[in-house]
Amino acid sequence: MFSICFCDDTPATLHKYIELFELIAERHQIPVSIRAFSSGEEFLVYLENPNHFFDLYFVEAGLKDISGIDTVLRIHEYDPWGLVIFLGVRAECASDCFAAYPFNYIIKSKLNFIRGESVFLNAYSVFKQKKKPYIVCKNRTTFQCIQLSDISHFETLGRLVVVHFKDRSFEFYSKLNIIEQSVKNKGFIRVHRSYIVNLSYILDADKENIFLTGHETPVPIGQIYLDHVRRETYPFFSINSSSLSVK
Amino acid sequence: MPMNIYTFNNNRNSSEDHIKTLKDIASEHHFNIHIFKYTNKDELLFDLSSHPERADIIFLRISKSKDDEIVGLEAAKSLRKLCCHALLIFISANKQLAANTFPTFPFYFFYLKYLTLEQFKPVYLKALSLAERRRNNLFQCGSGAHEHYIPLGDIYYFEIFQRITTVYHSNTSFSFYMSMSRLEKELTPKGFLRIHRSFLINMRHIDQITDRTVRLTNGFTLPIGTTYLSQVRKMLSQLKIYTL
Repeated sequence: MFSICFCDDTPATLHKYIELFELIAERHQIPVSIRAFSSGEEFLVYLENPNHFFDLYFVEAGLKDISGIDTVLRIHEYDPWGLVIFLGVRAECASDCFAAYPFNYIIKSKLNFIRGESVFLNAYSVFKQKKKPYIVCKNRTTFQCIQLSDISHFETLGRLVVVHFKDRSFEFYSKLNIIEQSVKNKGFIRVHRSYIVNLSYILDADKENIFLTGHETPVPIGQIYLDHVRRETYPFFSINSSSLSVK
Repeated sequence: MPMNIYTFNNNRNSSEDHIKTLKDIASEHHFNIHIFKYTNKDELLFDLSSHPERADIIFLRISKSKDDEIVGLEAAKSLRKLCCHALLIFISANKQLAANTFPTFPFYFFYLKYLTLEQFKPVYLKALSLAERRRNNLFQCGSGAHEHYIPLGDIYYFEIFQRITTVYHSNTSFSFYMSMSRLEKELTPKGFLRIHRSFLINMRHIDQITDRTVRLTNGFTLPIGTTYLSQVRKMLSQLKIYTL
């Protein structure tokens, strides 16, 4: 899963970009998860949580509340190797943006499918080279190595733990508590006594269920975990009733 | 191994001083560098076209010519097409050109008018340390005209048969002479694992290990040698997070 976020304060353009990059990803069969933020402040508050990170950041260079360059410098504090792409209106401002060492800069009026594709694929190839965390699960006969970003969720059935990744699953003996400890702050949250979910796979959520990319049956939310889930998924999804849902 | 810095500047007079500055800063911070100087972009392009991965950092002076062409930028674009992944640093007296450089994924753009040493130094040092990091993630094999640089992340495994070692990486393979023990020594700290007398695999591409075989993420299945069996199993004890 390649996770992308957009931060731009004009909702109309946000929709346009999300559509464009979803199309590009689909064309190249790269699984992506896209999140959008409509203000710099909100975005930075979200990133303060170590559980929250992305592989590719698109940041509007002229945000109203906080300058795009400052935003990016803050992103690099949390995630020094994060790839950042500026979205800018004017070509004249471009040379100033280098202070934040962006991966690239897109001039909004010149963004089309071809330019978007080149940027996206370049970022994806850098992402693929990156060292990524793995988990090794073992049962009686087999060791299974799985990239954390490929895992959609863990569930437990009695003494068995089932890990769901790509289109497969793997069963082994363990405890969800032990797994929860080891994947802590790596983008996973406990949503139920029997479930741990990867944040970037969440498509939608209501007060009782979480819907995951690639899985038809929803994952239930345990009532004691509800507050925790709300905190971790803010400002997305309808469980945070006061939020402005972007998607 | 020194890092290779290529510079292109069509203004002959100024380049000697700049090269000295580049060398001084690098030696001050213990970077071993080698500078190649060009005043003609076609020469630069010609030299790099056979070994695009040899360059670590390229400094390019760009300017607009009379017929509205941007000298230097075309060279950068051609290099990128040849899969040159060097860090590109542009220098120009024309601020407007910054926006034109983006399709080449530049590392930095210096506006000549206000350029000071204080401003230049941190960028240059950052580029050097990034280039060094990138260099450490490349595997160099073969020699002369058959020199290859392969990103470690793309390598699935090495196989040795008689005296020939073959590296299998992103859908292709390449053969060269090198002993397995030397390879193992060089690559074990970088996340490779010896599983058989003839095989050295990249741990980040392990998908599954069953009884006596390893399946890689590209679907290949390799045997585990008896000598290495306990060692392999010990490496992958249960439920640990590795970063590979």
